[in-house]
Amino acid sequence: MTNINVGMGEIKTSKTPNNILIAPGLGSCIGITMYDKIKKIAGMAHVVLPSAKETTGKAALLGKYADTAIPEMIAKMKDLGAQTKDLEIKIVGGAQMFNLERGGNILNIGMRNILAVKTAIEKEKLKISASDTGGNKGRTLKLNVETGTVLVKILGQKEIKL
Amino acid sequence: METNNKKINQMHLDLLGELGNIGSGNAATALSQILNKTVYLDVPHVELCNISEVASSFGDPEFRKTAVFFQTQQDVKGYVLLVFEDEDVKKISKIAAGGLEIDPDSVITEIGNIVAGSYIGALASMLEGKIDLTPPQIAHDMLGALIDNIVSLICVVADELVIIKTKMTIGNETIPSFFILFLEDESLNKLLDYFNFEK
Repeated sequence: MTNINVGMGEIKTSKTPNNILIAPGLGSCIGITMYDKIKKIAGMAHVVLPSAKETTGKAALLGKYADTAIPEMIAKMKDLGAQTKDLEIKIVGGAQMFNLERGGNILNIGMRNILAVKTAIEKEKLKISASDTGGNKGRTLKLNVETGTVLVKILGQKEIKL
Repeated sequence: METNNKKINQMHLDLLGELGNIGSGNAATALSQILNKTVYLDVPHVELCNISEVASSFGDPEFRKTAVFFQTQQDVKGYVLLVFEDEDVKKISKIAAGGLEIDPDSVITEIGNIVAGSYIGALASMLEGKIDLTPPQIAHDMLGALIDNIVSLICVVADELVIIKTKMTIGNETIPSFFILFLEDESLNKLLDYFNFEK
């Protein structure tokens, strides 16, 4: 088995059976998995922020923002031959590790990321089949390309199948 | 890297390292007074890091670590994160408590407070400004999870960020810990202005 690391802001796809896509240590970030179970094509995105509209700069890294990552991820899945109607989508992460404040505003990026990812997926008229989000614990997300199995690990707990 | 109005180059990074050096010297002195041991904080290592690699640049993102976290406010806006191995938290707290039974978390939080406070204090006096630290927060979790929230706040615009990191030696034991300073764009620019760089 070969682990393919999906870092912050990255989107990776694979149809190599012995690959495992992995996003280790997700905190407020969201890991999104897409899997075409008919053709066994897998994708993972590691989203950092809700929206590219918040930046005045050029959003070069499409995978960084929920609203640009989802369409890009779907396009990449299609490039490998996946059918939109066969996609199984799961989302994991969006925890709040520390209490953050700026100018009197509580910055709950995790929660905003969860909402933004859900909205972006709905906008594509797709459905989320399972999710493990929120709370205040880090998570590691894995997707087995051959089987489509999604595993979530929290420290001190047993790895669960999502 | 392009921030709001400047390009960051190697010379900028070296000068930020110098700036960090003053802070870490101050922090080492404060800490050695508390612990009654020789304390060294290495010359800060300043680097530009792509966000996709930032978590792994500190080690395996999945490994459990202890982190003490602060926000800096007023003239320099940013985040300070001190990252320790769990084992070292016990080791340091044993040294600091001098035989007393004290909760290692409280000890490491207080030590974090001293290190961050003196580092930021040195920075503020050099800039002739005011920098406040929020009260410390402690967390034990996967390294990646401890870092990504802060990275997200820094990287709204840029896909790269400046990291200032230092390692610590207490007595004759090297503590593989990190002192990480993440600066918001505006504050990074302010620090560069301090050196009178052209825009």
